[in-house]
Amino acid sequence: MGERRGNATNRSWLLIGFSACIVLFVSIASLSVGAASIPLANIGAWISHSTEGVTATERTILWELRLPRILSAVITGVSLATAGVGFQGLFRNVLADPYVIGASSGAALGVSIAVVTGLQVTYFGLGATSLMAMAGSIGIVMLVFALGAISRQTSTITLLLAGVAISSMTNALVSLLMFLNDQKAIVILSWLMGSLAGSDWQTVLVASLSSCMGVGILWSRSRQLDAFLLGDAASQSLGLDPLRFRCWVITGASVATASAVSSAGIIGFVGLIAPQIARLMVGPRHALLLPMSACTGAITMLVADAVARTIVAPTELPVGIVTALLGCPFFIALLLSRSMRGSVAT
Amino acid sequence: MKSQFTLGFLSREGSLSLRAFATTLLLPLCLVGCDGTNLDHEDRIVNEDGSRNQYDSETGMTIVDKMEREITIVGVPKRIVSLSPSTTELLFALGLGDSIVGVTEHCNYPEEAKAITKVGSGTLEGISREAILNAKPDLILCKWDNHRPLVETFERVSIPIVGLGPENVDQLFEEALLLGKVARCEAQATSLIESMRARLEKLQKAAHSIAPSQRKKVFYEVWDTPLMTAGPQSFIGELLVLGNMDNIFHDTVNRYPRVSSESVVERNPDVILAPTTHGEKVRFETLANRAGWDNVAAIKNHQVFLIDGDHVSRCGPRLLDALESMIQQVYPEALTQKE
Repeated sequence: MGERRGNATNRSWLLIGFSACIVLFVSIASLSVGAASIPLANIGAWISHSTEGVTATERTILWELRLPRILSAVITGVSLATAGVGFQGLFRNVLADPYVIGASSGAALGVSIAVVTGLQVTYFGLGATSLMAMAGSIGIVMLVFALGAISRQTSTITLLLAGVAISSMTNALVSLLMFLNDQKAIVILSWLMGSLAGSDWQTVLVASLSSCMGVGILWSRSRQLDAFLLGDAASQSLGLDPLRFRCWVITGASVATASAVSSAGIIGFVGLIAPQIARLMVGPRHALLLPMSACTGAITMLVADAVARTIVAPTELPVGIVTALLGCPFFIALLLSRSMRGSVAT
Repeated sequence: MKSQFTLGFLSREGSLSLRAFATTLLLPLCLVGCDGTNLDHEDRIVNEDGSRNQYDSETGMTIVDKMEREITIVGVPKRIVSLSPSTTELLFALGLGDSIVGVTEHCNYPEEAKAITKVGSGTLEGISREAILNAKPDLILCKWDNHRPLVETFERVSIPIVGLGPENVDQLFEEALLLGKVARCEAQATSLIESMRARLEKLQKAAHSIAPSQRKKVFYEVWDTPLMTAGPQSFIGELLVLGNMDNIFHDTVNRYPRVSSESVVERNPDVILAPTTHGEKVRFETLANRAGWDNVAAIKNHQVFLIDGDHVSRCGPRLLDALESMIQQVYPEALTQKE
């Protein structure tokens, strides 16, 4: 029995390693696609420091635009997917996503305020919109958590309801700001649709640091997340302090979400579906689920962004549209094939 | 806003160390070397010695754009990317069409503009930064309000990017002068402005030959759902004033405010003007069928006129074509009397 389980784990780690290789491969491949076509051979030359065959313009495009953008896609995908795992574990509900307790609406409010007031601060290389996105999402999540904690039960349901209520209010505020400042509405709207086009080295650096922090926190709670799935009574009998546990998971997941929204705007679907795909592949154990989700999230974002850059080139599509348009059919196909196999088995 | 420019410059310097840090931190992931620092910065480095508006191939020329940024341009731009149709039209009117190497998908005038490489649709998210870079521009002209995030990207790679976007005839002339200065074709710019001024004067004179009692109340319908009009702050609002027309929404603040159908009925315009399309072609019947609009004077007397959308929704050199056709429709007698 124990050996079988060990085999399953090994198989899962193999799958995860394989997926990580795919992430690397897709990253390099997507360096060559975009509005400006750069053949793979030139990418190879560029990577190996060779100066021949790569024009100055190509080098600028690769270094200043594509590489930061690809790294941003990886970071965003990893952050959203692991945050999704965190929230799904916390609410014991596979329908939860990184935005469930107000992170997206908080970020949107922050950005709207920055755009409407024409805020021009820069801190640690991050522009006003990124900073306000981060501040907004963390601020609103803290508010929701405080509300949840005030009600003595601090049940996950209270938390969820507070999140939904605060989110609707925040969304209304965003709509109001857009309505009152219709000249700037289009800037807010383009941010709401999500895009990686503005990625640069500073955003990559800041996002990777905050993402590492969030993902690290979640990773360190993976055993507790497993225990929590057993239910309140069982997990407390295993010595889990529910309030502290929630506090850590929310912090980790929110920091990861905030790092994603501050660099890419609001990108739906990835945080919801990437964990499900990972779950189908490696099962519910968080020690496996978290790294697998990180891989599926990164791959989804990389492919979606490559499509966004190329499909209607030279025009770009907002990447948030692509993630949902491409990801949903893939996910449904996976679900159907699974359930068919399942029905044969039973 | 000089300080802002300096800040931007500082952060660019600072980014070198960040870049190095990022390289060591992240790049093992992709096994990618970092030769990003040997961009062709050298030939674009800016010497700021306060020599404003002087062109000297060594020091360059400093201008202030609509975002109030100071920009130094070295040499005569020979490869211009234009990110708005009105700017493209203006460049052609100044005889700079041959220097344009990138335009948006909406840049459809003059005919030659259609053949130029496209770098995306007009909105911010539809523009491809890669395609712009690939066109190897030495000057980028963007919209000052909606394209702001592009500025960060192209400042980083040291390609001058200038925010434009006139909102009235005077600003249009200013921008023509600015572009004339930048591209060193000031003579063309002045003569374009002079001829436009002369034509504007003629049109204004004709429109003002209408007796005050004959002035008409005009509703300009920018869009149908939601119903939007042009306030006095917009260039369309200005055209109405120049054409001696009484904008029924002269009291609004926003450039393109939403208005209620009811208030149009209440203010009872004599004439309704609209661009040729609101997504689909504007038809008299659609307007007449709106609840209560059958009582509006303009509908009763069939005074609904369409203006070529490309003329009237771009604050460019063809703006006066729009004004002329507006006057022609609203006060046909004014122009015929004149000639």
